This record gives sequence, structure tokens and C-alpha cells, in this order.
Amino acid sequence: MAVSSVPTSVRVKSDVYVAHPEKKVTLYFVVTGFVALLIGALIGPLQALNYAGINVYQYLPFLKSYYQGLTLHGVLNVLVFTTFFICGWLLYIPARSLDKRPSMAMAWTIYWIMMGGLGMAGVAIIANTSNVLYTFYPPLMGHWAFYLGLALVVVGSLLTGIEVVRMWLSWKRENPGKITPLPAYMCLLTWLMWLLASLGLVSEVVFLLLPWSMGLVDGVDPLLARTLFWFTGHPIVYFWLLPAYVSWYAMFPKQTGGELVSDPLTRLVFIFFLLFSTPVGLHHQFSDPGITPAWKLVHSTLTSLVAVPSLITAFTIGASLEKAGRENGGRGLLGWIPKLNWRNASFTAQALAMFSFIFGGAGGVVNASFGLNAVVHNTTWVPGHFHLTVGSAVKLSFFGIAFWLLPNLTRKKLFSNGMALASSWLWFVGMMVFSVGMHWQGILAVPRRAHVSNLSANLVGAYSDGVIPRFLTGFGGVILLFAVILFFTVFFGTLWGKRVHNEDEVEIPWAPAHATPSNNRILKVMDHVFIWWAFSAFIVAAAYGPTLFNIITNTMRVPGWKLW
Amino acid sequence: MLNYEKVNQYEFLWISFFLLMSVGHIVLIAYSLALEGPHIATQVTRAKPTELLEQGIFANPGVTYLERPNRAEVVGVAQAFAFSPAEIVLEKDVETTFYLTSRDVIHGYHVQGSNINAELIPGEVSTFQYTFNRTGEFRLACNQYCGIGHQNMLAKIIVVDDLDEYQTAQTASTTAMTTPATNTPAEAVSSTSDTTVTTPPADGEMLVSAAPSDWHDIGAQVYSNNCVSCHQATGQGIVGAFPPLAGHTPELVSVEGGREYLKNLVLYGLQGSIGVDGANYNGIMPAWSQLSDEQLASTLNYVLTEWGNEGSLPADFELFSAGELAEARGTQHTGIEVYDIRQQLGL
Repeated sequence: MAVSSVPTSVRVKSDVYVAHPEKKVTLYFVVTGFVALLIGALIGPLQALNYAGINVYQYLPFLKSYYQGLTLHGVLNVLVFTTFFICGWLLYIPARSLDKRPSMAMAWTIYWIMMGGLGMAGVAIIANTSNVLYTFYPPLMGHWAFYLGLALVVVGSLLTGIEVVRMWLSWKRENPGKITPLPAYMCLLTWLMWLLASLGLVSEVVFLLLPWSMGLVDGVDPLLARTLFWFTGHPIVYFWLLPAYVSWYAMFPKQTGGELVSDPLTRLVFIFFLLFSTPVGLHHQFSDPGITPAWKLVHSTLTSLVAVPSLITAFTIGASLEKAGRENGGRGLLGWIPKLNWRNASFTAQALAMFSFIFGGAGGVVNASFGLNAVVHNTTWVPGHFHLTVGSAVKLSFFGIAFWLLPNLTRKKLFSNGMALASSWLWFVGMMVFSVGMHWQGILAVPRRAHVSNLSANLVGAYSDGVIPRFLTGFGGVILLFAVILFFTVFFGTLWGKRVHNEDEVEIPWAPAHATPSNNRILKVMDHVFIWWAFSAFIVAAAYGPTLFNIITNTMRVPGWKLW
Repeated sequence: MLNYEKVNQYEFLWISFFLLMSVGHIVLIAYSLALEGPHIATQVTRAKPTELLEQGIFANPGVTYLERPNRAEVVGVAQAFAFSPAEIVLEKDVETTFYLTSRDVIHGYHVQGSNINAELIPGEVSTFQYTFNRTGEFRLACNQYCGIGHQNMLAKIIVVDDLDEYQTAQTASTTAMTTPATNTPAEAVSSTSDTTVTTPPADGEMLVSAAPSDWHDIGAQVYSNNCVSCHQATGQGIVGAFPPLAGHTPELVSVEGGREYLKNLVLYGLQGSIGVDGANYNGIMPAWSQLSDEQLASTLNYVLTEWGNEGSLPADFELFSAGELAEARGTQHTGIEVYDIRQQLGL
């Protein structure tokens, strides 16, 4: 018969995606992101060992310098991995939450645009043309393909955001008067935040870096470029963090048998992030002379405000967990903690992510304090800090999500829950040890991003004062190497495992929210997302307008340099 | 049991507490800035990085002691991969105003154990005040990634009780020191001699007969402070970016115009892709005109005689003199013009 001539494997394979074709594109985004992370994370221990005084780079013929390795590490881990994962995750969740299909043609176009960008930037870095790190401050000049490639990755993310907004609008038309389901609401606000916040980076690349690196203009104003970069550079951390929050609020309580304590408060948190994520970037430029101290203080103040939604999150999630733990029989002040679902790798990875974020957040408050910042600015304290936030809170959350999302997308069983648990704990412990070392060295004024294991002969010993923190940094890096190996064994083991056809889909662990019918009116106000978006644009314009106007009307273009 | 009413109560307390904390936090920040804000860099004026030589104060980086013992001024220039001045001597409890800028890319200026932490952005002049209230030697590090030699961009600030006493002691230990706190104090030479300064090779060679010479020591010192990050201790350079000096520099003095080219190269830098032995090098040579004539001449001599270069020198080669460099300062060039000069050498 004609039908039976179709090979069984092909037919069955496509069956997986029949009900939800968005699963396939989500899988592509997620897997590409994790492959980037694998490469980036394998370079990480080299960086850690550098700060322990051990120069491994001299033995690696494929990396021409520490700075090339560091560029790869940073770009792959925080720009490529995050963006790819988020484009999959924050497309899939709203689609499932609204029960809408994204345009598959659009989704695949976005994927291939981003792959093209990744390829260009990757070749530019590997060819040693663009050792400018992931902050790429001019006048250090990378190859135009590097900038264009990264820009395409960002463009892909913006198109994904627009696609999600389109799905939501169409859901609204079909469900007049209904309140947006909470998971979709969180995703939507994250995308709206990013659609505004990315303006800085996009204009930096399009109007300054691309014409300059292509030789069309003879220089670039470094302060303008920096200011545009940090316009996006701070909110980008919320673009990484909020997708983790989506999981923390919408699924995580369920994974330990509980429920979310407050739906309206969750929406309020996301509105707070939409309003205050962006007008805070000047706190990365406290040491830049060309910006008025008064505006730096304003941004320092606004940064305190953006800590508030994270503190509410700490409370809400904490309360959800405590409630679940007590219902499982937990007694006493902390007795509910052991009653949580610690045997589940997805739960554990995210719980550890949250715990790291307490320290990451505390360090962040130090960074954002105008006065204290002078002690730690551009020291190893800063990478110590963001390895707790993006390196632990975000990464471990994405690991935890992957532990159920991969089986959900592929109908394959998680390769090993035990190994997944072990990788989460090792990652957590490794990052903690590494970060203690990095923070500590930072207080000793050791500069970040420096190949200190390769000082010229007359300078050897310049940083020998911090023996213990140097050891901790290196040791943390070695632990992390084992965590990486374990995690990716689970990841690829799952991916290449056997498909289970005769069972139902692995469920998305939607957490029920405590019902709050009396607040319906508030929910309706909150659902007018474009009004909130306009508010947010207004605050950003007020917080950045004068500074940007001042810089743009006083630009001084300086020539580019390639110093590697 | 935990019920929702209780949760709401606690939540209200929690949020109120943190809003209060935030307000307190901001008040404390404002208070600390009012108390010791002057260490924050502000922009008083701007300076074109390509024209720093003509920009008055930055043509002569160094320390000026104003109305001693009340105030001092530091004028500093950063460039890949060195600070000028590389050693700053200050008196304790003296209010010091820093004027700092960069000649090429963004550098950092972070002094260990102090609140000095500024970005040096080309085109901007970072200005701030600081008063050291304890004596000692403080590490000054570039903390903004600036290229392959970033980690070697280190200098120091020495804070002393009495400047006169310190200078007398220094003059007694070395005769080469002319002004306080200009770059590359001769005092440091002895400390590096075991690693970077090699003993002059065998007798009988025409050049070495002049050794043991000051130029060798000065050149070795300048080289290890300023050149080694790019051109490496072995003189081999870095593939694709910075050309080798070993084996290549004798070629340059052998061709017509090469001697002039080398003087212009160290004074004004070079911008453009050059080829050496079939390989391309795209890095940029910074200008080093803030170094003294003697330092530049000594460094050229050092490079031309190190790593076996000496054997390949033309028979009629003569050492560079400070006077020659002073003369070359008469005609200024840009890095691009120096590149053109190199292209005309017909290598």
C-alpha cells in the first residue's frame, strides 16, 4: 500500500509536532542556545584559572589569546545562549498559555536570521578580528561582521517579541473582556520591556558601529556609544531574568505541590519591571566623566526602585513555597524547607537559582550605590556579581526549565534525574566558590578582564596579595567544569534518547494561582498593556533625554583601534 | 497554619520595610557624595586624542606641586599599554587634582586602596580631586579592557610624608633622576635588571665596545614598561597584530630613509596594515612622544641590538642620539603619514 511506504520513523517523528508545530521551532531555539552555552562554558574554567594565576591559554592553539577566549565566553554565554533560549521559551509559553499558534513561517524565518547572525559573529571572533568582548566599547574596533551578526540576533529577538504581541492581540479579539492568562501576561510584558530597552543597542550598532567599522565614517564618539550600550545593557539583564521569573511564578510552585499566592501582585511585579528596567543604565557609568553627577544620582535612585519588584518576588515565591512545605507537614520556623520537592532536579535547580540570586541582588545594590561603586567598578567584583545573577540565577533556572521542557517538546525521558540533580548542585556550589573569590579579589582592586596570569616579567607578583581568593576563583572554575560535563550529558542524553510514543505529553507544570475575584477591576487596568508601555517610554525619555541630548549635541568622533 | 490573610499582612510589612530601606539607601548615597564626592570624575574640558600634543597640559604629563604644601596637580595620559607618568610621588594630606585622558581607546584608572576609579575616555578629560591620608605605595591599574597588553598596564602612586626628604634619598641612590615623578624612574632599573636587562654580548663588536652603557639600561627599562606587551619579551610580536622586532628592525636601518622612519615611528606612531616577511600586521603603533629624547633614542638602540639583531646591522650603523630625536620632533606627523613613509621604504 502507498501509505505504508512512508518510513515509520519519519511518520512518527512528525507526529510529535502535529498538535503543536511550535514545539519543533522551540526545540531548535533551545538546543542552539545550549550548544552555544556548552562552548562558552567550556572556556569558562580557563578564565577562572587565569585569576588563580594559571595560564592555560598558552597550550591552546585554537585560541590566540585570553581576550579572544573571553570574547567567545561572554558573547556565547550571555548574548547567544540567553537570546536563543528566550526566543524559544517566551514564544512557546504564551502560545500554550493562550492556546494560539505562532506563525510558523515567521518563527522559522526568525530562527534562520538569528543563525545567520550567529554564524557571522562567530566567524569574526574565531578569525581573531573582533576581540572586543561582549561590551565592544569603541574605539576598539571589531570587524563589521561581528557587529552585524550580533545585531541580527537582536533583530530576531525583536521579531519574536512582535510575534508574541500579535498572538496576544488576536487572542484579545477572540476573547473580548477576558483577562489575559497570567503566564502569557508575564511573557507579554517582558517582550514589551525588551522592545523598548533594545532601542539603545540597536541604534548604537546601526548608526554608530556599523558605518564606522565598514569605513563609511572616520570615527565614533565613545561616550555616546557607551551610553547607548548601557541604555540596553542594564535592562538586558531583566530580559534574561524575567523569563526565569515566568517559570518561578507560573510553574515552580506547582513543581513542589503548591500554588501561587497572588495573581495581581505578580502582574504588578511585571508592570514595575516594564516601568523601571530601562531608566537605570547610567549606574554603569558612574565613572564616566562626561555625564552630569545629578543624572547619575537619579539613575541610582531609580535602580533602588527596580530592586522592589525582585524583593516582592522573593516574598511571593517564598510564601508559596512555605505554604506548600507546611501543607506537606513541615513544622517550625524552617522545618518546611526539607519538605519541598528536593528530589526533583527541575525544582532543585530553580530553588538553588533563587538562593544565588539573594547574594547577586545584594551585590547589585552595592554596584548601584553611586559612592560605593568607586571601590568595585571594573574590578573582578563585577564578574563575581553577574556570575551569581546571570551565571547562577538565570542559568540554573534555564537548566531547571530544560529538565521538563525537553521531555515536553520531544516526548523523550529525562536522561537521568540523579545526574541532573548533581549537575545543578555542582553548578551552584562552583559558582558560589568562584564568586566569593571574585568578589574578594575585587575588593583588593584586581581589575576584571585582565590576563593576570601572563604579566610581563617586570610585573610578575603585582597581584600576589590575595592567595585565598585566587585559589577560590580557580577552584570554583574547576568544580564548574564538572557541572558542565554532567549537565550536557543529561541534555544530549535526553535529546538522543528513545522517543516514548504511547504516553501523553509531559505536562507543562502550570501552577494554579490563589483566586482573587474581588480584584478583577485592577486586573482589567493592568491588562491595558500599551498604556503601561507608553508610561514606561515616557519615564525612559525623561531619565535619558537630557543626558543623550547633551552628548549628541557635543559629539567628538575618535578613530578606531585594533590592539590585539 | 499559614493562611492568606496572614500572608497579606506579612507582605505589606515586607514591602513597607524595603521601601523605607530604599529611601534610607538613597539618603545615605547623597550624604556620602556630599561628604566626599570630589573623587567622582567629572568633565571640565575635552581634548581631541589625535591632537593631545598641542593641547597644552597633556603635552607634558607629570606632577606639579602648587603652593606647596597645599595642593598638587597630576596631568596624566593613558595609551595602550602604559600610563604616563608611570610613577607619581605625592605628599600625604595634600589635595591633589587629577586631569586624565586617553590617547587611543578607553582605559581605566583605579588606584588600589583609594576611591580613585575613573574611566579615561578618548576625547574626555576626567577631572577629580583626591587626598591621600596614608603613606605607602599604591598600585595603579588600568581596569578597562584595552587590548592584548591590558594586564600589563600598571603603574604606581607613592605617597610620602615629606617630598624633599624622599627626593634627596632618591637622588642619592641614582643620578639619572631629573625631575620628581616623571615616567620611568631610573630607580626601577636595578629591580628589573635580573629579568629583562641582559649583559652586553661579547667584546670585539663595534657597538658593544661602547657598553656597559646607559642607553642599554634605559632602553631595556622603557622596553619592559611600554613595548613588551605588544612586541613581547622575545621581540617576536603577536601574529596578525604586532610585528616582530627581532630580525626585522636591522632591515629598516639598512634601507634609505629607514633611520628617519624609525624616529618618526616612535614619536608619532603608525596606523595601517604592514607586511613583514609575507605576514600582515594590523595592530596600531601608538605615539610615544611623551617619552624623553634620551629614552626614545636608547630604546631604538636597545631594540636594534637585542635578540641577535646586532649581527645584522649595516657596517656603517651609528647609535641613535637624543639630539636626532629632538630634531625629528621639529616636523610633526600623523600615524597615517608615518605609514606612508614606511610604504615608500620599498621593503
